[in-house]
Amino acid sequence: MALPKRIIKETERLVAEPVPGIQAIPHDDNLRYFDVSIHGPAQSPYEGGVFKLELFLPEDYPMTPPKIRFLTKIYHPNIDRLGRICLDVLKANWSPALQIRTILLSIQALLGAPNPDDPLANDVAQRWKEDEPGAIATAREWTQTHAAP
Amino acid sequence: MSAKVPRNFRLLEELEKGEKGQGSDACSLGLDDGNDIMMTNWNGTILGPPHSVHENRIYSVKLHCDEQYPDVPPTVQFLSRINLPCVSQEDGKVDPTKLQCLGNWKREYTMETVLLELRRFMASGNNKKLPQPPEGSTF
Amino acid sequence: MGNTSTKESRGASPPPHHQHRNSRSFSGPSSSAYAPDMERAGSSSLRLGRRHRGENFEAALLGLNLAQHRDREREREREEGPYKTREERRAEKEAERRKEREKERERSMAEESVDGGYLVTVGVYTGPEDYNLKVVRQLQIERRLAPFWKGIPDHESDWTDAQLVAAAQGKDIPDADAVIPPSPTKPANEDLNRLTVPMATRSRSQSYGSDASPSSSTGRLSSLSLSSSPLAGFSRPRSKTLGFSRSSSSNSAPVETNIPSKTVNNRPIEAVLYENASECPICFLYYPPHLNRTRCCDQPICSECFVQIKRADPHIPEHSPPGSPAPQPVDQDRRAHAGDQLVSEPASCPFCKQPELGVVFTALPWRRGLVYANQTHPYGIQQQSHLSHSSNTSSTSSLPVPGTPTRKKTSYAVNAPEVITTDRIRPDWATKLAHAKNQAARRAAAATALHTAAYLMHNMSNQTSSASSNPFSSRRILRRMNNSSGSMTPNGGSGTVTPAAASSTTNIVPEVPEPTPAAPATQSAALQNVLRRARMVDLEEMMLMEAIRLSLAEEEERKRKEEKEKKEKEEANAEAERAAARLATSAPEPSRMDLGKGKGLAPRVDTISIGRRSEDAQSSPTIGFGTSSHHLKIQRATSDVSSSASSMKEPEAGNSDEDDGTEPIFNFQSLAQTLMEAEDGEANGNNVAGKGKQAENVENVAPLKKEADTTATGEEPDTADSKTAVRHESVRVLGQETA
Repeated sequence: MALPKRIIKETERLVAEPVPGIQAIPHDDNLRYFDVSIHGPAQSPYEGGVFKLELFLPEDYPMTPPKIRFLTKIYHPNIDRLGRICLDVLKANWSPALQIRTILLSIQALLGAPNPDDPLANDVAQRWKEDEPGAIATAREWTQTHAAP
Repeated sequence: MSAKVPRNFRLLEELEKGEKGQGSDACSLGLDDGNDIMMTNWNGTILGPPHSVHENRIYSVKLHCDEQYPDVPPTVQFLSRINLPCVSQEDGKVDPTKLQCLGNWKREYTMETVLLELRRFMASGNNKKLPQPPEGSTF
Repeated sequence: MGNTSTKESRGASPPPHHQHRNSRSFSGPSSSAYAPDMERAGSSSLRLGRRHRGENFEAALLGLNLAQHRDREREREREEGPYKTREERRAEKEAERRKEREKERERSMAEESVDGGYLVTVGVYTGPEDYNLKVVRQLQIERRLAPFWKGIPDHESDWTDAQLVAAAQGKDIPDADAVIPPSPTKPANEDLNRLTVPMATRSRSQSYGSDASPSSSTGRLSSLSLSSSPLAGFSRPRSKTLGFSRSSSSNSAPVETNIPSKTVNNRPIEAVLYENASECPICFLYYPPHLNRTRCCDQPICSECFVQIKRADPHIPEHSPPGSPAPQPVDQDRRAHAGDQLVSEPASCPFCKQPELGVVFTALPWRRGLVYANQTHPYGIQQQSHLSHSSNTSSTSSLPVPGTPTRKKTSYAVNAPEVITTDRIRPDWATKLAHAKNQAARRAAAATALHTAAYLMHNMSNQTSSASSNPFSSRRILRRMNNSSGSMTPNGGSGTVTPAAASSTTNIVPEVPEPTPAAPATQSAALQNVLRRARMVDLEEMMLMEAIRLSLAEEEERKRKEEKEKKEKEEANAEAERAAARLATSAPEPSRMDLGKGKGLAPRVDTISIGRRSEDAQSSPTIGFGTSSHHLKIQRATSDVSSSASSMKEPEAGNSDEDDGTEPIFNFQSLAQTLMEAEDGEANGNNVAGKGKQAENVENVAPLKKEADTTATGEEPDTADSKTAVRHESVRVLGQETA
């Protein structure tokens, strides 16, 4: 079976109506594999950073969620050292009515609203809870070091 | 044509399989550096197969997955000393031409496949009787 | 590796003798030395005295190992021959499955249709189809679920009929002035009026498997004046020709009838259908605008997508924000829960997330293709009685008026008769869940028994050497016998057996004779056995190493929580009832064993109270595996089985007291197998009390390595720790009692 129409259409629409601050471009040799970049939301410690991610649409997408992870190092309680993201809509709360677009927006929103109570990176979450200003400062530092555009 | 899982997501799958305990009981696998976003170097262990000189031994190996994995096989190197035809006695490197799963590598194979095949190799024919260096010695 | 092989061996489940004998044939040079012991183990009657029992232990160890070896050998055998990895075999199977499906699809698409759609999926999704094909087929013929219309990738509102037909047939879209190519199958002279069958109300349909009145249905059938209808000629019991056996309604299988016309009101059916095509919001393909609509939020969803949506596989309920990928706390929880905690929530709506997705399909005003003969007459059938079993309520209120294809309501209750839920087309979900639960419970119980037994032995050995110094052990033994393995002792303990645990009873009892005393009186006997087998500590070691690979710590952790719950329950009843007696018979430690030996209930109670008492005072763990000297010896031996033989025999001779010493062997074996079996299940997807520990670290703490280290140093930090934890926990619980 060729690439499902849904994936083709989603891709076309991502190109036709791009989301501000988000870019997703499929690899030439694998149209299910996207290079993604997300701009850190304003007023967040990630502001000014451009974060690279990779996204893959598995065989049974959209019945199963896309696989996504950060390639840029980021200091965030819900993102671990390998860039894996703890986000409900990427796991149990995935719905086939969601799309690449909506998922990327959710991730951008997660940057703006870290949730240390549901952590993936335990040490970061701990720090976030105990010393939020410090954690935010670190996140900002990391953004400058690793996510400079 | 079914979806072709890119390298990084494939390696994540392999990692998570181990993390969730879904892997084989006869071997194990972990990242060498938990901070390495490219997940290049791995450590594996193989539990020596029963009914062989390797029984109850535990062998440590290093696996290296380069940019082209899984289109090309990982390179494998024993850390634990072992006397096995496919393993260089110089440095413990596994000769890919002497281990079928490496020589005839297929994209569906995983690092676990390699470890299990190595284990099977240890238990096969003469290999299970080969005299072995003292347990715990390393290359 | 062992994961897949155990299934096989279990299937045959030969008696232990067999296993030993079989395993001999596999014995390489390294194991042949033990063959005599294995033989003895197999024929217990030949063995007398404690020395031999010692060998039996050893044999048990070997038997266990060999049983596994046998599995592995078998797997290896299977893997030999043409070189194939498991992945390749799986891929082959998958390819075969696809081919089959493709064949059936072709046949069905050529022969069968419903209102211009099909009864088989047309390939939007490529994964396995695990919905119930028969149920879906029937619902589609009944017009309760949209047929599998072909989704078209693009659609323009100004397409001509010719263009629409081409699009629906998957051809290139012709110019707007193209004419429709003549269809060879198109009947020449149709009486369109007669072929347009008035719509029967949806609720009139028979539900699969719920056909309430076979006799009435045949009666209905005959009452239909089919002979006067052009339909009669096409009528045939398709269920038979297709080889379907409709289990519960076989004698009243609806007779399928075909309305072969390819046109509607003189227009090609495709043109009519796709004229105002609408996009399915999930697969992004265009379908006739008559799609299923969600019961909750009235969103369209094509059948192809709908049949893909299902419950999640059975899993441990998640806390906090649902769907969070099991971070540490959840992981621990997961381990702590037994199988009865498994849940599988109904699929929720992809659009509004309301639980229990269901769809409503409003049939077209006309019909083509397959219909059920006994439903073609709009007034021939009494309604009500054959609504879905789950939906017998209030059908009158929502009966659609015949001929009105519009949805009457914007939302429907999940049990409304029109609603088709995801469970409806996967009736086996409950079975699956029950199976998963059973698996988990089985595993938990087996693990418990195994650990209990291994633990008992160690404790008892501690005890005999320093009986008064370690009161905890016997209390613990007894408590465990009553409680932890409560699922296995229906009449033995005071424990409140939970439903899930009870359900596992049937599975476990036959396999676990030893830790399941039939009556309290025999518990003390079991205690004796346990004492005798003090040396079997290393059985645990070896099982850890070789066989189970289940972290003791995790099991203990899980057990601990489980017991905590049970314990709390018990406080309320049985235990409390005996409090007086217990207090009355409380005695200093040294008497414990004596009491425990001969009597049934009372001594048991007695030891419990003593254990509790002294435990209160005791704050440092005395139970760790690393503390006993012979343990260390045995640790060393694990890498060299032959040496372990002597190390085991020796203490055994010093310690054990007599009698029937063979069952434990088989016990352990079967327990271990049960465990492996359960692990098997786990590997298959019920990742229950998983080895979650490993999940803690992204990087390399290769579990094997860890174990190797512990073996080398003769320490079991995990085990010891968790046991201490268990103990403290118990102290707490029991402490309350005293207070």
